[in-house]
Amino acid sequence: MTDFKQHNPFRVPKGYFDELEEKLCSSDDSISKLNPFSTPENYFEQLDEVIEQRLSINKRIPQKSNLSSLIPKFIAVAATIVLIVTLFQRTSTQEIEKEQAFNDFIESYYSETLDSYDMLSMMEDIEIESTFSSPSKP
Amino acid sequence: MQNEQSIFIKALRDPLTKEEAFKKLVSEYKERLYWHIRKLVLDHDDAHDVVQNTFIKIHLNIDKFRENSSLYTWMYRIATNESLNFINSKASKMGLQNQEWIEAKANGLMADSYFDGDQAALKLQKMVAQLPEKQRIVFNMKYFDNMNYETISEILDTSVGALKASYHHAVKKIKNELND
Repeated sequence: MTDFKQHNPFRVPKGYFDELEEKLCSSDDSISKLNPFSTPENYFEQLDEVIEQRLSINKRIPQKSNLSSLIPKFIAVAATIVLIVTLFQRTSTQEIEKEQAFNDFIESYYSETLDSYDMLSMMEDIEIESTFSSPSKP
Repeated sequence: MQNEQSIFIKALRDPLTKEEAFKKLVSEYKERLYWHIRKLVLDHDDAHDVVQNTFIKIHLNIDKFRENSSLYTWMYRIATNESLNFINSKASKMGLQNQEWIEAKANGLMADSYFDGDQAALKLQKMVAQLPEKQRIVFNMKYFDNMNYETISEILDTSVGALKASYHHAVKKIKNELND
């Protein structure tokens, strides 16, 4: 059994493997033999025209500014956004502060000048009922 | 050769001769660049988009080409970068890693009408897709395009030693997979 494996009865023509290697490695042959990909028919004949068309479209579109010229614009836009956000926040904060001060004033006025009886007398019967019937929070 | 290239680059930069020279450039290199891109992105439609973007980039940046390398390696570098940017953008839009996206593409090759390979070719493509990005690029350029290490080194801006190591690892992984 071992003898059978060791003895190879087949022969190839002289220089066969050298020729094979050369054939497989030569650029044109290797593409056809090793390349499993294909393209639509006449693809490469039409590709020049496609690229030419893309270039002409590209020429009509104004070129993008380079990065260095974009940086000052970006900074200006960012600064404007920050300014608007800050102003908006300040305005809304001021409004909240005014509202809070007014509420505090009303609350302190009532708590200082009116006792609980006066407060209850100012309320409607339904309001009193609903206030006392609603479950208190733990 | 260098002189020939310089004359051609001059023609590409001269507004009077640029269009004609560029047509010649497209005609000369379109197939080689297309196949390089196709092996990286796998799909014909994607390769079609990337090859166009590559030539647009070449047209726009020819003035910035410093002639430190050959025009051919410079264009190959642009094609490689464009392919990788394309994969990156497609993968991130789908929330995938680049390698996951490529593996998905390789798994769908049998249904691709522009894939003529048999089961063995499909298996090889799937295995190549599983390689890390750098190894995949090096394997494609060395194995399929039969490029020498010096040229690949110029294109990828990587040392020959590192490329040899990458290729060696890639081949080893593929051989191991084939033996399993």
